[in-house]
Amino acid sequence: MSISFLYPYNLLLLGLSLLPPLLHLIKQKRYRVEPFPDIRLIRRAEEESRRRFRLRDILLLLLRMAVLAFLALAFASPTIYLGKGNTDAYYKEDVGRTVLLLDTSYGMDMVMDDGQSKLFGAGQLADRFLGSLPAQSKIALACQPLSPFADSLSWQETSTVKSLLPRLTFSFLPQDFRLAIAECVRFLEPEGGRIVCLTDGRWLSELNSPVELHGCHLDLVLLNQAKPDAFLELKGLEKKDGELSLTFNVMAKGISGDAVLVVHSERGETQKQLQLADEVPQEVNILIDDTNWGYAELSMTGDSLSWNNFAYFASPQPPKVAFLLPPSSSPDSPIVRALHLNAEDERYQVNFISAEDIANLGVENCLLVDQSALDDVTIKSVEGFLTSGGSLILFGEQGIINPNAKTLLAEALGVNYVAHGTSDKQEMTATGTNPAILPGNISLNQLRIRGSSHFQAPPGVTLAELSDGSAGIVGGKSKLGGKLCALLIPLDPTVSNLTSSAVFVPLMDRLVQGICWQPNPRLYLGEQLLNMEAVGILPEGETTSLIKLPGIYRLNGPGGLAGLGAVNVTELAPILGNEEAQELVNRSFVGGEVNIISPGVFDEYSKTARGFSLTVVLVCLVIALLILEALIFPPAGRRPSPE
Amino acid sequence: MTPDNQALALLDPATLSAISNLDILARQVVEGYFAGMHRSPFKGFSVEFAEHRLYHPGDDIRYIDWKLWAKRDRFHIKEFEAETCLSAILAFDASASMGYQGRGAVSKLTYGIQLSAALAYLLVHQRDSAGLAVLDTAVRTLVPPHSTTRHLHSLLVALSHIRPAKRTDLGASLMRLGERLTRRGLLILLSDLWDDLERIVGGLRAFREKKHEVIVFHILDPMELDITIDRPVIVEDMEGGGRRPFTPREREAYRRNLDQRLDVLEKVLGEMGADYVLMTTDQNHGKSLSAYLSKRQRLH
Repeated sequence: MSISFLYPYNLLLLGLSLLPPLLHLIKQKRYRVEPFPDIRLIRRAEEESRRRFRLRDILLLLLRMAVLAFLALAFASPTIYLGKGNTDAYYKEDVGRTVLLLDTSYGMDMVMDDGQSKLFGAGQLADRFLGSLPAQSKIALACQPLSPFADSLSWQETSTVKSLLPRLTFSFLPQDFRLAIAECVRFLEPEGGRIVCLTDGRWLSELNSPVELHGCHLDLVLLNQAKPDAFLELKGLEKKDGELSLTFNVMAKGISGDAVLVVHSERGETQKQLQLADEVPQEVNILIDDTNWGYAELSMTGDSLSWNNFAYFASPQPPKVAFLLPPSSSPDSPIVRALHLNAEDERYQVNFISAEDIANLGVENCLLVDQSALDDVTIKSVEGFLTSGGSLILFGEQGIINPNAKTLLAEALGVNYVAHGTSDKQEMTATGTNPAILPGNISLNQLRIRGSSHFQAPPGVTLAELSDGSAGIVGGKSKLGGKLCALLIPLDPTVSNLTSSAVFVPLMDRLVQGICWQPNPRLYLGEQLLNMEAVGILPEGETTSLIKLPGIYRLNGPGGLAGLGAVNVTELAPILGNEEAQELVNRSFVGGEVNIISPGVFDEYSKTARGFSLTVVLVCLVIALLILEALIFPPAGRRPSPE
Repeated sequence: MTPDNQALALLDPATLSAISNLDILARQVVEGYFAGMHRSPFKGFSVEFAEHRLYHPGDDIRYIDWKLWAKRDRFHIKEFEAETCLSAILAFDASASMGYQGRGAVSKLTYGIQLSAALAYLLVHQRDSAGLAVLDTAVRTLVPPHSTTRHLHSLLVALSHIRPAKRTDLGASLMRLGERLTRRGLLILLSDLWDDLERIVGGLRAFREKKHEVIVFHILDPMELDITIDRPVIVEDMEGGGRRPFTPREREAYRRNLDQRLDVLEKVLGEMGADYVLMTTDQNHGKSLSAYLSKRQRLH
């Protein structure tokens, strides 16, 4: 049995329960002092009276303290979770109102003690959780990084969700748990429900303001409970006057002694000696030559200990985004409006260009092209841009594919054709789609080809489509040299509202981040998305060694640094212990009940997480106590006069 | 106001008027130097016939009862009770607690002084001797009894100089006073009796054992009889006995205990043959004294 509080800060009101004794003491200090001839009889009277009244007074004091304490507890909205035997009651109520949110960020690739990745463990936990649900239960599955197609969240049979779990894989898209949870909450509203989130919880420390749960329950199953051995994090990077100033956070746990921080850059390496102290965080600043990329290595060699840590970095440069729209584009088009909206985003240097400008476009740009604008002339320019190593995002309305776009895609993807699927039964597995790229909320088994055309990708080429067929993303390393992503969106508002700026803008945002946030094309983009081996920022020749790194610890989001921290996963530093996580959670969520659950107890918890709100009980208790006080201890004004 | 005027001010005309026609009658015989209105243990020649006895040679023939000789043919001498003046000591408790003034018109000390003055006046007026002993932890002042008007003035001056002491030990001071009074007489104790009851009774009993007559004027403020407060207070002992909180709800218990104490006092003093008079400072002391004396006169 356990208790959680919806508004834990209101527990501070418990201090009010000390008010009655304090008032008693203060009043006693203010008592008038009266001289009296002799107090022996008063003393005797007091002793007699004390025997008679002490119990009564103590009871009254306790009663008043209890009233205030219960009131404070009621304000904190406690929920009690009973032990076994309540499984049925819990799920009877919550059936069909649980969203299973799995963290598929790359950090979940970290290998745990049992030799399995965290994501694998999360999948097993989720599987057991689903297994404990009644057969008729429905559940929604969401993965983080959440697909921008939040509309695709839908209730599914538990069996369906279970079949998806083994196919889950990691995503290199930037994490936005705030968005993910907000979407889940939006999905559960207005009835509310429960979000069961299996995550390593690292994003918790990055929430800079609380997430509103709107009354939903959030169960956080933290899969990252071990204590860190060492931690190296790139905290700041500043480029000025031809030099790069790097600031690292260094934390050693269980390690003390001399260590060396070596920063490797394009032009060489810089060393700095450090003195590590167990659990003493320190900030290390190091100045290196100007460079576009590099990595830092913190190493230490002792008699019994040898380890090192890496932090990768890249010089931050805002991506340049160039939009190419067809001359016939209506200014009222949702996409155009969305692009204009996006253009106002200060994180990008946005330019609306014409076809003639493409030839002069540098490879640091990300070119966003409306596929309908690809006429015979323009396609040559775009191909040239791709060939020179540029990043291209091709977007357009699904079903109305420009033949030139098909050709471009076919050439870029190295396929001979682009299918025009019309069947609504054909499954994507038959197409050779790489399942690893699928966003978490896409059911591979349910991928159906709808619409009048789609891209059928050959084996080895990434192709994904949402389960409802509302949009498709094609991404990959272009055979022509650069990176390419095609986004096809049904513009028909009766089919989807994806063209609304609220959805389109963040979608484009992610694509831009994924494709071209890093100014150097050799920078990390994501193994599966590009289907290439360049996962790191090292020069081409070293990418193979990097890809063997078992995990990437952290990727700072847009507007921040393109820094990757603590890559050495075997000694990867989990940030959060349970207590720290609890504290973080208390700060990070409002308006709903949040529980932190250790994986070890999740199975048991999932059967016993039936919560009863005690607020009403407490309020009733307060009223009852007040009535009791009025009856047993009448106010002084109503006491019979001794006269 | 000069000390003389202060002393004379103690004699309230109204009080004196109320008690002017009353005499303090010693219920028991007292020893006196001078012939007065009180019976003496010595046979004398006052107007009060006592008994006959056979004539012995040498007896004063003026007291031979010739009528009895005519009847019995034997000489009998008539004997009379000797009347003497009363020697009274006003034992005044000058403890700190006597300085208390609650709801009364005056403090207990003032009330006691006025009462003492009235008694002294009365005693001297009826040609009895009146003395004064001021008591606290010991006999602080002792004015031997005399019956002159001039002595009354001295008594009044002494009374006007009484100030409350810090502490009191009434039992011990009474014992010491008893040791210093050799002649039987009347002890009038004016006190609030806030001391150990056994010690007070012990001191008074010593007087009774020496055949003194004892009158105890127990002076209390109405507030002491009934502590009327509407909110809790901290009560501080005027004689350094510490502080205690006192709440209105303890009032009943206090009154019960006080009643018990007064009952015990009255009972014990009655058993030893002493008069016990409870007076409160809100009463007119002249009327109270008058009432007591009237009652005493009737009993006599």
